[in-house]
Amino acid sequence: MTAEVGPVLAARGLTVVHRGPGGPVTAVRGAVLDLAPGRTVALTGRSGSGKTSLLTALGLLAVPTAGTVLVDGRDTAGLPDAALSALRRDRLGFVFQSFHLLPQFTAAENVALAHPGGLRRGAGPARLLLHGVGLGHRLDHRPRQLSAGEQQRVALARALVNRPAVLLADEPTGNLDAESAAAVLDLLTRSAVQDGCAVLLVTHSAEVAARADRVLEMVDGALVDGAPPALPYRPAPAPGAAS
Amino acid sequence: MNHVHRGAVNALRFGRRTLAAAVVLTLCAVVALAAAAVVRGADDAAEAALASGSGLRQIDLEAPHDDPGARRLSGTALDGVRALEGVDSVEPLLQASFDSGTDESLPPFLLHATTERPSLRPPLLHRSRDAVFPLRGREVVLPAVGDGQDLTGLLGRTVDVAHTRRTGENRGTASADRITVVGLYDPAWRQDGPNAAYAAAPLVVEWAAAREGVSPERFLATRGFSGATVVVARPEAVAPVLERLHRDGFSARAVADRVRELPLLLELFRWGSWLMLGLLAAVAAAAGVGMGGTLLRERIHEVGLLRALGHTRRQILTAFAVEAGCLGLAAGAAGALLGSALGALAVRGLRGLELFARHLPPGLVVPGAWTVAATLLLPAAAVLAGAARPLRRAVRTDPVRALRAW
Ligand SMILES: Nc1ncnc2c1ncn2[C@@H]1O[C@H](COP(=O)(O)OP(=O)(O)OP(=O)(O)O)[C@@H](O)[C@H]1O
Ligand SMILES: [Mg+2]
Repeated sequence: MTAEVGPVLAARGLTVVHRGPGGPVTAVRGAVLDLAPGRTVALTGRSGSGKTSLLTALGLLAVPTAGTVLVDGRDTAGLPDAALSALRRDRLGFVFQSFHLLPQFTAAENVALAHPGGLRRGAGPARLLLHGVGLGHRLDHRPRQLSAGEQQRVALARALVNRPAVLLADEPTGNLDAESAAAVLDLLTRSAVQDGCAVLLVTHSAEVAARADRVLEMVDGALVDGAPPALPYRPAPAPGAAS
Repeated sequence: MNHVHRGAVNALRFGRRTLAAAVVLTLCAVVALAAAAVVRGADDAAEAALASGSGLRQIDLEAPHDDPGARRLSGTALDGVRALEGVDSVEPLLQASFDSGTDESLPPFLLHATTERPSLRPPLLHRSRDAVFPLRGREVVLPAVGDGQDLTGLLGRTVDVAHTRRTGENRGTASADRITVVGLYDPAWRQDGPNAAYAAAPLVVEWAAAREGVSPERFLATRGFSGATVVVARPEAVAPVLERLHRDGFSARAVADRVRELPLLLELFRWGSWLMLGLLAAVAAAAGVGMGGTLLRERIHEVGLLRALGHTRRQILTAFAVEAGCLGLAAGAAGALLGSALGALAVRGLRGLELFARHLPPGLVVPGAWTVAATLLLPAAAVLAGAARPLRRAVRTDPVRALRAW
């Protein structure tokens, strides 16, 4: 494989406008972005600059106001809900700022929820992954029986259990102490390197950003390069909708 | 499949929250089904009674008590009925009391001589000859126990008894007569009251006429019988003959109607059963609304998360529907099981009461298959109906907003 690898996830002219009580709020303005396998992109920016809005649009959770998201080079605009759900299930992994674990399920079950095979067939892979993040002894604990760092590691395992092509992490270490944060970040970058996963990581930490392959900054909804792009990928053709 | 499984797991995990609703639902189901079992037992007993004899072909005629316009059941009137098209036979009913008289060797008793009717013959426990019926002359069949006395010693004996003969206004004397006891019947048979003795019609008419101080002929012409059973050829003939009898001024009623009509208390069981089923549906629907509301208020983020993990709206809806349905199904199953058991026990218990004994069958009574199915499925269906709207709203909630609600 000498050919350059194309982006697994790309945004073209992505614009997200929220309808607020005081009128429309443009949270993302024409973002253009490529995420390549095995590469980590750090996204920084002030609070309210639109990072979460960008991630939810990239994660196919919200339909963008304008522009489009491409998964594996394929335009997702206009896809039916079932197809978008299938892409989320098979290609994407989410890590949220607060862990978003369901209280009625054990750690292992929370991870298995994201497995295409469901609670039963996902149980094996879930256990394996939890061992991988050092929680082999906490498989059957409920979220409230886990520390914050442990919960975030469960959430990370959940994001990885479907072997996603893209990992979207929204301040995954925001609620953690330095040590736990370091552990979670290690796991994140390790999976990027080992499994060839494209990682987009929202962070406020310069230290964390420094470990990324590329740093982007969000300023008032616009994506600005925070560090020289060093990624050898071929830009995908911009679709008409974005221009 | 795996979303069904997740819904079932959720139902188990949240079981404690819904326990109160489940208990109430189960109670409603139990009461509804138990009452239905009692009613079914009574209905079955009535049908069995009708099917075992010629009940479906019988019409009751009653002498006019309060209604002076109604036809008297005189001998000639009954002869007229006998001649109607479709009528097989007319079996008159009359009672006249007699007692043990002055014979010291007899246990003291007061019994009611009752006209023997071929379609309503009592079950015999003892007999002094092979074919007891039809009774002839002064032959009688007594209850094995009557008026509190064991009468088995009288079987086969010819004894002197006494009946009343009217001699003037409010005056009468005891008149002796001699009868032969040819059979003893099971006292549990209470078709004509607890102390009925059976005799051929002429003897009963003779004693009844004596009580009035008139001749039998005059008695039949002026008073007439107190009732009669008209037996028609086929069940379909009941309606036309009944209509004709009404037209002729008789007080008449199909026996099937009388047998199928349950005492008011048993009818209350029927209404109670329906009422509880209605309550069951209402409570289940309310529980469904409650569960849907909880989902909208407290667990909406769960919807957002599952959407983020790639579950489709339909899959999420399936899981929540299974979760809600599990509550109804569990309550329905418990209700069906316990209700059937309680119903069987209730029938046994009520049979011990004088009021119900005649209307309830011996042996195990199980409620009808449809009633069980309704009890089993109604709560689940109603829970789902109640939860449908909030569930749909929940899965349609924008996942981003749902996640923000965390
Ligand atoms: N549902 C919404 N309706 C209206 N306005 C919204 C909505 N969601 C976000 N906004 C606004 O859009 C802007 C971007 O919000 P977003 O959550 O993307 O910021 P962020 O960069 O993730 O901030 P933070 O670092 O604090 O998480 C904010 O000004 C916010 O107030
Ligand atoms: Mg944010």
